[in-house]
Order: sequence, then C-alpha cells, then structure tokens
Amino acid sequence: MWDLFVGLFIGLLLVFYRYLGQPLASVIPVPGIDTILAVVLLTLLSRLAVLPLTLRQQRVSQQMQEIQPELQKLQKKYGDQKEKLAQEQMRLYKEYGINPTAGCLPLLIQFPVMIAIYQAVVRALAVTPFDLLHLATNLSIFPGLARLIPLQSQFLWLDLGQPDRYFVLPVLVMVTSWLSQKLLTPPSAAADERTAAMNQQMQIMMPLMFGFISISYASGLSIYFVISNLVTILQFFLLGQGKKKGNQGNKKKE
Amino acid sequence: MNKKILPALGLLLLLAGILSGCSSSSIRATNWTDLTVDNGVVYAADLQHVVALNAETGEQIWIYPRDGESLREIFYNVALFDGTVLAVSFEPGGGLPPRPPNGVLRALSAADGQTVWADRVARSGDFAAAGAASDGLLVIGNSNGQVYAFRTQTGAEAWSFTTGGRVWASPLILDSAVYVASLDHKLYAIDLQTGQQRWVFQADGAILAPPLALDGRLYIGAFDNRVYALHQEDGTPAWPAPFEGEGWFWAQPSTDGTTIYAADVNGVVYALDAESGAPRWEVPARLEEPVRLKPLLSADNSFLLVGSDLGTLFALDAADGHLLWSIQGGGKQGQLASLVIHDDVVYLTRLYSEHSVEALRVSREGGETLWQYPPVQSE
Repeated sequence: MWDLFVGLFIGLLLVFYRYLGQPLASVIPVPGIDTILAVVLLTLLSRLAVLPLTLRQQRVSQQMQEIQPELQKLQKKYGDQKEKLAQEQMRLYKEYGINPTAGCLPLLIQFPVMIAIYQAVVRALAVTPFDLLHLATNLSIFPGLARLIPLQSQFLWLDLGQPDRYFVLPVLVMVTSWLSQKLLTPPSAAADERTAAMNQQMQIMMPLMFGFISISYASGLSIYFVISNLVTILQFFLLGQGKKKGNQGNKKKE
Repeated sequence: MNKKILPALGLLLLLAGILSGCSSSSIRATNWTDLTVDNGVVYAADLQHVVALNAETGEQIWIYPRDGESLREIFYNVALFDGTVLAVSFEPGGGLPPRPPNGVLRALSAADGQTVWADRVARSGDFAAAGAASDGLLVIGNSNGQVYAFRTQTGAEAWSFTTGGRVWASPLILDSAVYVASLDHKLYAIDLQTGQQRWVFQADGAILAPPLALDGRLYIGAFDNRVYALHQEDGTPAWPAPFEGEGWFWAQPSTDGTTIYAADVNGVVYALDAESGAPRWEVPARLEEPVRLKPLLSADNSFLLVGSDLGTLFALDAADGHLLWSIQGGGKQGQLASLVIHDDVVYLTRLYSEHSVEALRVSREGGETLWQYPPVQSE
C-alpha cells in the first residue's frame, strides 16, 4: 500500500520531469534544472491537494486569535479549577463553532505526504542500488517513463540525493520556516504569558529542527521544505491575514 | 495554540526517526555483497567483514577486520589483483557536524589478510562495484560520477575521469582500454594509462553493468530495455538494431561464444545470436521473479543458472530456455547478493541469511549444498 502511494509520487515526478522539466532544460541548459522543476511542481501539487485543510487551519487559527481576550478572562476566573476551566473553554469553542483539533489535521496529512515525497525523490534519483532495484519492480505502470530513471541529481553545487554540504539549503529552510512560523503564530500580547513563552520557543525550536533534518537528509527534502514554507507565506498574505495581523499589532501598540 | 506544540514536535521527532531509516546516515545495507574465487580460495564480503574461505570446505582462512576490531564501515565488494584482495567498503555520513559518506578502499594480502597499502584510500561517494586491475593500475568507479585509477602497489591516484552520472559498474579492462558504464546513459572507452576518453556511446537509458566482450564486440544492456552490440574499437553499433526486451537490463550478459544470454529485471531471460541479435529461443524464459544478477553458464555450456532477487536459483536449458530445476531461497530474507560459478560449484552470498556465503554443487539434475559460512552450529 505504502509502495503504491510512493509509486504515485514517483509517477508524478516523472511526468513533471518529462513533460515540463526536460523542455525547460532544453531552453535553460543547466544540469538538474529539470529535476528541480519536477520536485518543485510535486511540492506545489501536494500543497494544492491539502489546501482546503490548510485554509481551515488558518481560519481556526484566526478564530482562536479573536477569542483570546475571552479565553484570558476564563483563565483569570477559573485559573485554579482546571476541570471547570476546560469545560468553560469547550463551551466557548462550541459557541464560536471552533474545533481546536482541526488545526492539527493538515500537519497530520502533510506528514505522510512529506515522507512519500522524500522517498519518491530518493528512489527516482537512485541514491543507492537498493533504492533502484526496489523501484525497478514497481514501475510497470509507467512503461514510457521508466527509462528516465535515474533523474539527474546534480544541480549547481547540489547532489539532490545527498545533504547540502555548503549548508545553503538548511539555512534557507530555517529562515523560511521561522518566517512562516512567525506569521502563523498569534501576537503574544493577545495570549497569556505562558502561551507567549511557549510560542516563542516554538518559533525557535521548529526552524532548528527543520534545519537539522535538512543538514542530515537529501537536499530534495530541503527543496520540499523551502517551497512548502514559501507557499505558506504566500498563502498567508494572499488570504489577507497579513493585514489582519498588522491591525492586531497596531491595536497592541495603542 | 500551545496545544499544537507537543504534537508538532512529536511529529518532527517521528519524521527524523522514519527518515533515518531511509537515509545513508545510518549503518545499513545500501548495496549487495560480492565474492570472487581464485586458486581454491573464496574471498567474500558479508557487510561486516571480508573473509577468505577454503573453496572446498568453507573453512575460514582469515577475516578482516580481525575479531574484536570494529570499523564503522560496510564491506560490500572484493576484487583480486597481484596476490592482493581489494576490500571495498562504505563509510556512512551523518552526525553533527555532518560528515560526508565515503567509499573506502583497502589492499589486503590474499595470503593472510594483512593490509598492504600504508593507508586506506577514501573518496566522497560510494564505490558500489569492485574495481578491475591491469598493468599496475586499479580502476574503479564511484557514485560521485568519477572513475579513479590507483597504483596497485601504493594506492596513489594515477588519474581520474568524470562521467555525468553515478558509476555502479565494475570497469572492463581490455587491450589497454577501460570500458566504464555510467548511469548517465553512456558507455565510455578510456585509455588505461592516460585516463583520456577514446570514444563514448550513448544509450537511451542508464547503464549499470560492465559490457561483455566477445570477438571484438561489446555487448551491453541498458535501462531503455535494450541490449546493444558495439564495435570495441570505436563504439559503433554492430547489430542492425538493438534487441528490445520487456524490462530494464541491469545485469551483464553472458556468452558461450555464439549466443548472448541476457536477463531483464522482470525475470525474463533471452538468448540472442551474437552476430545478428536475433532471438535463438522460440520464447524467452519467464521466471516471474526480479533478476539483477548476471546469468551464469555451466562449465559445459549446457545449462544456465539465474539467481533472482527473491533468493531462488533457477537452472534453464541453454538450448531452449526450459526450466530444469529451481531451488527456493527463502524470499527477501534470502535474497541473492552475488553468484559465481567455478567448474561445477556455484558460490553465492546472501544478504540477510543466517549463512552469508554458500557453496552448491550443480548439474543439469539439480544442486546440493556443499557448505555454508558461517557453518551450522551443532547442538
């Protein structure tokens, strides 16, 4: 089942490589540009597939920001009665029609997608002979495309099947994930001190973790992280949340 | 929002854990083990070691690294030259700060396993296949796309040659030329002494195995599902058209002098006329198991042995391809890593089996196990 899932991503990768990447490479003769384009398009497609969920996540995040003052009031009122506080918080969520767990769903969905894309890239690049034989017996559904394997793995200084030894991609991953994290986190003034402190820790910890993963694994995964983060940032501004967040910041100053 | 912190961090840690199972940064097999037989001795790699075994009894003659000595390397390949065993290993990268993965070469005395070169030779990337030696030079390809020539006496680099893709095939050295297959779809002919390119042939798919040489021609399979015949001198096609199979040709073909035997990864085995490329069997043999290993001809050329990736050993009649017998190998757990025939004995390595090296006496009637290494422990 998992192999079929990964095989689907490999198929898409090959289609993008053959029909968009290779024509681009004939116009811009940079080795590996065809593979990069295929990985970027696969990332964009996977983000598009989970767009309804991420939109829902952003809406929940926005609603949570809006009810922060009321949550704080509850915190003050029932601070020492944990059960009562939880009950009141749930009542408040229900009143505003918020499902607080909905925010986690896109993360849960993106997790297997992320691993499948990583495995698809590593197998299609034929990083090791083992990866290749595993693929050889699963490619019969793409008869015309199987001969494209392995894809070109060199792009500029990068071997897409290996970590970036000059740390350019890990730094890009950390910067973009910090930025997207910062944009998606509600302003700290609106939350209680403990939440604010944890949010701040999260803004540092998550980019560091992604940076560590980028240092340790194939650059193809780092390309996925960077593009995915850029999509999140773009989505944030296109949906007008940047403006709303700006307004909240202004209110805080007032 | 803080409710999301713990699940998110947990998922990231899980992601790191799962990916580590797929990356080259942890010790795991990323290639198959190899063996070679010479002068009554089997030299084999079994991931942890290189061993020399008595070919008749399977008794251990020497082992490298010695018992108790631990090297953070995976030993895949062996090659023999000038009384020396080339031990090829892979040193995984990873860690903090990250180390690049390295292919490592050592020269060991074939007699006692003592190191011959003063130092090991390491290069970034993986030496996925064993090298070939001639005229004092050892030539070996690397996953970093380079082909290196080292002096057999000292391990000093004589020259290097750059290809456009990973090199996972052993080179073929013939008449002062080195023939190197690369995953960049090309077969390169390189001058042995200078490392200069003589000619290059481009297929429509990656090439993973060295060519087979016969009467001034080179026969090679590729991932475009084709077998090509080329003139050794200039790389021009020797058949009117390449032979079209059903799947990728991973393994090097075999020959009895007039027929070329080739197996594709789908487990379809073909017999082709060496002169014209025309099929010689009425129908190809279908084994229904993936094949990556070179088919082997018996000493009298009457039958063909084919090892599958599920560990099965098939014997086919060389005249018409019909199945004579097969020995099941235990599926993925017993998958065959390498297969060598010497007279009427087949030596093989299995990757995950309790016994990493086995010897079987084979005939048209069947095969019987002679010995296994490590030997079966008596109660």
